[in-house]
Amino acid sequence: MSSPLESPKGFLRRFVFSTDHKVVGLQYLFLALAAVTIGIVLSLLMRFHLVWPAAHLPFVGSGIMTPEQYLALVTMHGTIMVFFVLTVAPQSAFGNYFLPIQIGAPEMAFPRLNMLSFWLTLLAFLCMLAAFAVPGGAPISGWTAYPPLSGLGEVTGPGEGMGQTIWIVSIFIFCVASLLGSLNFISTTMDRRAPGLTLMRMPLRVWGWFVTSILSLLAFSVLLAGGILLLLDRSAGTSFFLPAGLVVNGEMQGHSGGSPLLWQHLFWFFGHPEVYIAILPGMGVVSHVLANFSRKPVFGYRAMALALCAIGFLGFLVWGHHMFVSGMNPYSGLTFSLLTISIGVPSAIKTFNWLGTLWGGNIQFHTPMLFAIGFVSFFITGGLSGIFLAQPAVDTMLHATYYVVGHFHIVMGVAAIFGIFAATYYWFPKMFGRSMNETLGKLHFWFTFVGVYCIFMPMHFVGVAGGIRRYADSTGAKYLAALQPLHEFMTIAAFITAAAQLIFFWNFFRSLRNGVRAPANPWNATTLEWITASPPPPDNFGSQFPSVYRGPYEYSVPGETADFLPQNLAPAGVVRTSASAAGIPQRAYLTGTIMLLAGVLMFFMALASADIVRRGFSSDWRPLDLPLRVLSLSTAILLASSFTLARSRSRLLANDDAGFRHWWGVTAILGIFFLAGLAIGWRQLAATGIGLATSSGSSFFYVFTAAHGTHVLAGIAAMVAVALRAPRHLTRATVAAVVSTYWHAINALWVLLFLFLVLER
Amino acid sequence: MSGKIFKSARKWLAAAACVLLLGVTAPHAIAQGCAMCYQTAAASGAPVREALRHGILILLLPAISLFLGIFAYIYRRRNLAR
Repeated sequence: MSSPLESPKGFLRRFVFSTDHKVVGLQYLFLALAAVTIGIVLSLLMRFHLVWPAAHLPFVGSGIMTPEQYLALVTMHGTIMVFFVLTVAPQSAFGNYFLPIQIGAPEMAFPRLNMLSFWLTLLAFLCMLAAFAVPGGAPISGWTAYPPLSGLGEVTGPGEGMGQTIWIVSIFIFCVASLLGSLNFISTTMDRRAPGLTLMRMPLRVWGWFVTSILSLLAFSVLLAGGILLLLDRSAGTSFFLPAGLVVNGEMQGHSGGSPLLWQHLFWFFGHPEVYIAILPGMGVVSHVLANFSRKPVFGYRAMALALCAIGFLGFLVWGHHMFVSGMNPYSGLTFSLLTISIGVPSAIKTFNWLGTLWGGNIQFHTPMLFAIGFVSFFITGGLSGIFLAQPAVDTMLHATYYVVGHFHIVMGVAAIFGIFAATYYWFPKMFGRSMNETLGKLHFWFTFVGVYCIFMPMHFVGVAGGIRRYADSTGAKYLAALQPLHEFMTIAAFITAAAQLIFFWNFFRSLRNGVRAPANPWNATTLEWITASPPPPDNFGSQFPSVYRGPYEYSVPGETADFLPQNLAPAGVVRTSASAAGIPQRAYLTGTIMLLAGVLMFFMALASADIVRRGFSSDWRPLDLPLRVLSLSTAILLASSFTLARSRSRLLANDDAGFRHWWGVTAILGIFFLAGLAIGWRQLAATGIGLATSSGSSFFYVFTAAHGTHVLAGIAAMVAVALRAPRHLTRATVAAVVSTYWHAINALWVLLFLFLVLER
Repeated sequence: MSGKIFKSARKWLAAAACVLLLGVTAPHAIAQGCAMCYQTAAASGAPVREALRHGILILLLPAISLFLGIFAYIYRRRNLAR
């Protein structure tokens, strides 16, 4: 039987514009490796400058690094590491490669979308790097891009002109790529699992990717909305985040009524879950690796899976608590506090269960295991230093110091990166068919493990002593100068640790060609990726698609002679069947559409939330005289289009092709009329002198309607595309169901928006 | 049968009472988030704080609903094979 997924011919189709999830996963992995290299170099430059601030550097314009250039390094290091390493490597790289294989699928749900996600991410990365090359250089407002610094343009400093604009555009593209990736991951997990792979048989790694995808879907939509508003503040003169009366470098700024707090509100809706987006896939891989090398089942598998879900869920409540409690009824505050504090429970369950998995195990100290244990160590250390930050008085004192830098680097950065290293050493044999050198791997681990503690533990002491973060030069102030020996120690440790990464790179690239050939299952593991060849064939299983009969961690099962039982091993007396590859199930398209709509809903909710908060701040908010007549007419037209689309679908079900096409066309035309109505409304407003930047009300009106109009336009484009050329893999009923779901939801959203705009008056 | 239902209902009621008790007696963890954001918000006027609370709820409720909704969706398909 020939494989249903043949390897494409030609270099470009096979290795560059490939839709194979394994190639896309590797592309993401190499992108993350490039990003982490740049991120490390930037951090070394910062550490060097902190210790020798007067040293001449050959690639710095004037020879000596200016404070602004230092801040640009801080910004770019943070951005590159958070977005292009911690988000990309554990989720997009390993997730893309292994999610379909671990669930026994031949492909992702939407292979082309997958390829598009990667190319958009690469574009975002190149865009981000381009910020170094534009006049003024990279932005200086930090990875959180707090306004007003990030919103005013070059008047606030070098890098805040074109550099900051490029930064926002890059993040915008990255958000779109992440959203597409997330809905693909969710649809794949829901609809492409092998027969027998029930939820409670999924590897914890898959649970980690799944929960992370939901967080990404909901969080990046909000960052996308915030990014658009920030871009408008910079380029269109609006005042979402910029207050009145700002004087910068002697120049009065022409903004009014906005507030930086609104950016904090939106940004941290993304920022809080981002911590879990970075760490949850790591938790999955660590659980997986610990069980494998302890030769024991994961202790409390069900609790571990539920803990992953609970962490994701409570992550949003933590954000809500962020500022929610100020001035509210104390009893509501108590309940909210309880819910928020409870995020410690699943985290503690995970740590306890990792230790429970190790307890009494037949532990094998292979390199992935060392990195997994390192992850647990850093997770506990970072968690413990976080307890101090939970005290309001202590947090106020430590907030802008190196204590926080040390804390979040250990818990979010290093722990997550140890998870990435564990995954790399663990799955390298599967991805490349060769093994990495164990001795070099262990050397790499010990240098990195000790080195990282040497860098970040002293930061806690520096912070407690008052060492302020983001200062380019602390030799000027006496009390800060006293901390210089510690800074020197950390810098030397940083250089040694960075040098140790060369061992990893050497081991990685050398093993690609010269590593010892790996068998299909070098670690005697149980999950489905280990039952196929290394590297896996184009369809992942060489046409022998597995069925699943047992849980993912059946090691040392009492009464069994083998020390591990693969998931596809049928119990005695059960006839083993081979599943069919089948195409992408039609329901996956509907799942993907629903997930897309979830992202769209969050995007609009972010705008609505921003509108409400902005009004609270606003001294300039006035009711907007909306062009109600034309908007009402447009609304009626859009509602009518829902009926015509329903009519079109019913004709399709009645096998009336001409009727289907007729009503399909009528729907598209009604959509165009709706857009024309919006354009007329805009024109009427503009004729009365009300533009985008006139007031906060008008700004939100234009943003809401433009955003919704774009979604209607996308719906019309989909209808026209389907009418011109029916997709090959979809039945017409599926196409009609997908387009109808999207269209009705977008129409319902408009009704809510319209009511919101009318009530707002 | 009815005794079984009663027993189960009693169990749920006891659990709900425990949660309620914890909620009432829980300490007020105001610094679970960021001190800077909290203080900026707390230092603003009452209308700002109120707007912020509404804004947070408008963003929080859909997020939580969608999160739970996606889980309900996958739970319905928990045993569904490819």
